[in-house]
Amino acid sequence: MRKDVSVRELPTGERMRIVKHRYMPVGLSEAEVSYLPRACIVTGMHGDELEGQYVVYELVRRLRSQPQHLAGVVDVYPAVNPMGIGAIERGIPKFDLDMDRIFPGSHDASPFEAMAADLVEDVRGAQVAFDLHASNIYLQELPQIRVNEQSAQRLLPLARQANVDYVWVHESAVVLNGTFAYSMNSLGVPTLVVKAGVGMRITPEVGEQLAIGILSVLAQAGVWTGPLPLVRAPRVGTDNEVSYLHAEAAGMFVPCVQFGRDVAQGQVIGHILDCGSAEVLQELCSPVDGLIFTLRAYPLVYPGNLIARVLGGSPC
Amino acid sequence: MLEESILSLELPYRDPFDVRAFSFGIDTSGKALGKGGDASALERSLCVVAGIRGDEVMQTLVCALLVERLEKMERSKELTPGHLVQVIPCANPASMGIGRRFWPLDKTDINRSFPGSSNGETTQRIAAGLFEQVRDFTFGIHLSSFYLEGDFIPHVRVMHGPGERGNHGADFCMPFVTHYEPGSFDTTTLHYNWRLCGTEAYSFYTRKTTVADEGIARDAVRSLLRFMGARCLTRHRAHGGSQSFELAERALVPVQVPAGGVCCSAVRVGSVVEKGQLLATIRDLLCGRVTARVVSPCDGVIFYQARTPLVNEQTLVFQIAPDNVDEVPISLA
Ligand SMILES: [Zn+2]
Repeated sequence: MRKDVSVRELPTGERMRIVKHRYMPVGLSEAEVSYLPRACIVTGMHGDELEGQYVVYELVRRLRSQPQHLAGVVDVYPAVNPMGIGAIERGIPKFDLDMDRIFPGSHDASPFEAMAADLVEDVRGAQVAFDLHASNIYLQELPQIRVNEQSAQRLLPLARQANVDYVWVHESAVVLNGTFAYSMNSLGVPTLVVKAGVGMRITPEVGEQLAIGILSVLAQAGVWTGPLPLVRAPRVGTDNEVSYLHAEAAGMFVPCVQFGRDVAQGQVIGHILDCGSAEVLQELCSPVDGLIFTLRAYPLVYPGNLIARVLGGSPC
Repeated sequence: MLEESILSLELPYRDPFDVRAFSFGIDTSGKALGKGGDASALERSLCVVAGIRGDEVMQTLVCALLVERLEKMERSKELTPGHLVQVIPCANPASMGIGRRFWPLDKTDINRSFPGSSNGETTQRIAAGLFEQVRDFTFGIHLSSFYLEGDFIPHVRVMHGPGERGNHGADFCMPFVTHYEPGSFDTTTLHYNWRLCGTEAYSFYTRKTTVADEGIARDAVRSLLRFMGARCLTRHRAHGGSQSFELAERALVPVQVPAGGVCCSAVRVGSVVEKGQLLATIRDLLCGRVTARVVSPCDGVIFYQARTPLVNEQTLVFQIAPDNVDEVPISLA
């Protein structure tokens, strides 16, 4: 069943909508399912992040092929920033603020903030929620969940079930209280933020991996009773186990390692090139032994641009 | 006057990023900066920053005209000896040069990157480098723009919350001094971080942003000079100006449109309106039929007007400074 969660009119008469698709146990009415546990899958907050599209496809395909295993409600919101997706824009066209900084929204500022408030209202009361992000076009990310230290106790058991490679526990200093996840968590809906892949692309393996992870969390929440493949045990790390590598020169970055593999301390990760003079401006080496879970995907770099994040011990 | 580069960075296939600062001051021996004056003997009194976003053209023009004016005042010894005044007309020439509001590569807003980090992302480094240069002034003025496009009654904003200190906003003699409670996304602005580090900060809003109007800019320069005069940084008193009204921003009455379409406004920024008065007409963009009339919910003055002619349902098209603001108290320590 498809439903408009929030609708606002554009000047041309077109309507901007946040749509949701609801999947519920066979033979039950809307009223009857209101007592059942509910899970919400939100994606498309950043219009240039498309990995969530394929995650949702893989998830819904599984739900629809075995409807007898649904014991609760799954609400899927595939495009909460529909205009951004259409325009290949991270933000909302004609609006300066990042959509993931305006939650819980407001009814007296702009239509976009009002739509954010409508979305919060709709998700409120769910047993669990996911907010699926890709990376931007600049960086490639291994499937990971980022949780804040404050909510770690509540979210970690769910995050471990989600079939991601890495769970990053952030210190409380980096709480972003305008995010969808922060708003939902403070309203009592455990909400997991997943980041995976790269902007403007779909990586099929990422979609399958995360669809299985979501199903396994749905099972834990009592929404899904179907068979489950084994999920991987993620590495769990805090801020001080992550090392950063930044560009110090302006030019083209070309990697020479495989993404998602372990590297040794001192191993060359890539070079920044001045192509016209065929000069190597900077050689970048891993500061630690560890796993490259973030790697620069967009070749052009300015000084300061992030090249890689390595999960490992602190550098010697 | 001393002109110097305060921040530079290599850019791929472009000339280096280079931020220029103009410093003014006369030391106790009567020598001006750049003419043998000793900058280290001066008190860091005022820093004025504009152009953190590349489309803040009016703000940059105001600073440019201020530089021109201060140079003359320095020559005619109208500046009070012992004070350093620094003006940075364009903190983000890389974006302004190509007509972009945000950072060219990743669209980051530098005014959402403070205090920055010297070994972080590009825009974090720029924010950190800039902040290093503009901190530790007694007064800081950021010529900023609002996140919604539109025109404002000229005003200065003071922020409540952490680091709150004195309020001399009325010294600009602009029509309004607005009082603002910062939200989560304000904590990374220059204004907020200035204040955390002990600077008495003001955000200064001109009537327009993306255009260059010399008349509007000269009015803004006079407001800045009035502030400087009142704070004893100059011997010059720019006459004119208004008696500022102190207003809590949450007292502003929002007016949103009930339907999408083309919005034909019947009033302008600064118009005095009465409750029930027609403010705008919304027409169907294709057949011209009037689909809604927007009327004023209160007596007051149009404080903000959206610039976009095409509106979505619920677009904020006006904010009205209501005549009756008694029920919304303002407080500043
Ligand atoms: Zn995102």
